[in-house]
Amino acid sequence: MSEPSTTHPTKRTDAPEADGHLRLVNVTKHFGKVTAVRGIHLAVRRGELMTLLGPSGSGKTTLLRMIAGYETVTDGSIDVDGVDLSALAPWLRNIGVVAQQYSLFPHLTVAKNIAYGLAKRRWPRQQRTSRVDEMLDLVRLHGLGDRYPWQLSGGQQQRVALARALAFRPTLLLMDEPLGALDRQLRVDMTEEIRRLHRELGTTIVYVTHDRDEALALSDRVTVMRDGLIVESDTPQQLFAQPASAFVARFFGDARIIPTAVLAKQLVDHGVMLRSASGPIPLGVATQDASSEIAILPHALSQVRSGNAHLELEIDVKDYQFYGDTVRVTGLLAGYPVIARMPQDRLSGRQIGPTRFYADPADLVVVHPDPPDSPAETVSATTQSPSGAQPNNDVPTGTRRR
Amino acid sequence: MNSSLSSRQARPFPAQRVLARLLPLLARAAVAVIIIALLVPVVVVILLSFSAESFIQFPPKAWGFRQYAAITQSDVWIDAVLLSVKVAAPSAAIAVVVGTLAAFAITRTSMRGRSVIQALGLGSLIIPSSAYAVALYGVFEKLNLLGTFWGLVAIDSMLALPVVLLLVTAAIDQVPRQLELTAMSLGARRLRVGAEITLRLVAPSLVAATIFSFVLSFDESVFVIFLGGGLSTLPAAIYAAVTVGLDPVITAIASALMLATGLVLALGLIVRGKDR
Repeated sequence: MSEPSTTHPTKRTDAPEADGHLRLVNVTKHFGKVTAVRGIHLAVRRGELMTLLGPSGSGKTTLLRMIAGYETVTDGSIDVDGVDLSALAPWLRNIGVVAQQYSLFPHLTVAKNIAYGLAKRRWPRQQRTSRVDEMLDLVRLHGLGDRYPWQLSGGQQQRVALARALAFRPTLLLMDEPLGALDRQLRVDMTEEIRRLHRELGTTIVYVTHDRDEALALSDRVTVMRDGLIVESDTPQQLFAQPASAFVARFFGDARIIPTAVLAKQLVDHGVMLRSASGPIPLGVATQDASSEIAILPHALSQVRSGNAHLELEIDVKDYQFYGDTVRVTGLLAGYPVIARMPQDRLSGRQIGPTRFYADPADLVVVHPDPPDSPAETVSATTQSPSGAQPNNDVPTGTRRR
Repeated sequence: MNSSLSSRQARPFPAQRVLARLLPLLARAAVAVIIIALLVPVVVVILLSFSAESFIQFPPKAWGFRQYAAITQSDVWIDAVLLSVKVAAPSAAIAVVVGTLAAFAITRTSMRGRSVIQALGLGSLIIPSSAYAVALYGVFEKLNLLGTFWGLVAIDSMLALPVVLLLVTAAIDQVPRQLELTAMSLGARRLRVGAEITLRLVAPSLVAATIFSFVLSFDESVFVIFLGGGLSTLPAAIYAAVTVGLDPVITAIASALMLATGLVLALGLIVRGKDR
């Protein structure tokens, strides 16, 4: 298991690769008439920490449950190192799972919880105890082996769950919103903890979450899902700065979308180079596709003109919200809602109404519009919360914006 | 306008006011009557059991432990208690095993006819026991089970089944599925998960179900009289004694039985309470 983790890979991976450690080919799941997962192709490299991100109902948890063997696969195949999993019962897959909650056995001590998978694999007693001690040290719960789960805090319980899932040296670790039940500070600490464990052990991890910030902070790669399909799969940096689709720009970058033609009317110079996932593209060329849209990332706009931020845009400002390190400005650009986030020093004043803003054209991203069959207003609650603020975990992400 | 509204709220119509005061009082009175009606015979029987006379008379003229002494002097009563225990033990065991398996099928499988099992399992709660007993008489005659030990065991385990089903399905429903799935991912096969996780977590309810089944069978009086064919379990012996004449020893037996049943049921509730 613990072969060295490849330094966090950053190359783009949209298609399944031959060297995939975990490979999903055309994976489909029907529940009666409902299709939860629609023909997913995905490859996860050995040692990679890949996040499945999406609003609830996007199929990410179903996908995870199929990998774990909790659900059968309606069509397609899942294999690990070339071994087809579909013939294997969950207890034969050698996959560790950490769930959101209710995951520790309440009648067993911490040590026995961690040893459960080892006992099932008939490890000799001595090796079992030494491995349990090793795992307790690893998750920094040294000396708590004799406690019962109810004697631990929520964060400690999740660390025990993590130790238990890793103790038997699984080929793959699945995590299903493991931080969902924890409060904000604990989530941040646990994020750090998971990254450290991943670095130290090099285990391949598939991590499911609906929390954008968690995905940004944790992942080597993020696969954004929606309506049972993969929208985009890339590094968090790439998805944040250079999304290919309007959905990802909104969901991941908290961007607002305007039609390219609307922007073109605002600007004189149509030769200005905009960004797109497939490389720089002149505004004039992007305008030729009538359906094309522009994602305005919150950090693209500034009230102060500077080197690259030279495009002039007039925004009808509605409000300023103070977030400590940044100020969030809401307003309308040619009637379309936009959001700007900037440090105090890039703010010229706090005037409401038409105001001049400057944009770096490289931060205006040409994106594919949402497919017509899925309504454009499908945005998770997380998307609307400003990136620096705490995402509201209590609101189910499936809540459609109205 | 505002003030007239609030004054109306403050002072409802007199009739309404009287009714509002009276209804809770009436409800309490009704509850009190019911409790007294239930308790008076019990108290009378207990008082009578300490009578030192050879016939039933209330209030007794002399007090003592004569009736309790009489129980131990007669083989009839000791044999009856022993037979009741002998019937109740296997009945409870069968009911708990069958009921627990059925509870698993109902809560943890997608088997066809789950709801049918549940409905049939609870059936004996609904059918009036005398009608049931008459119907079973014909069946037992054909099967040569009338008046046999195992015939009684069969009836009693069936009667206890609903109690087990209700207790154990409720308990299994409390066990999060996630725990079972996690155990599987850790390498435990389905049956092992059932035994090591689910059964272990519902163990208190299993103990409670066993106690309740045992008491139910021990106390069962209708079916043993219809189908027992002279098998003299404790309730049957009491019934026989009462039909012959009023032997005051009955009051001592009834008192002891109430005490024992009460203690055992309380034990069952305590054990089950720990499960919550």
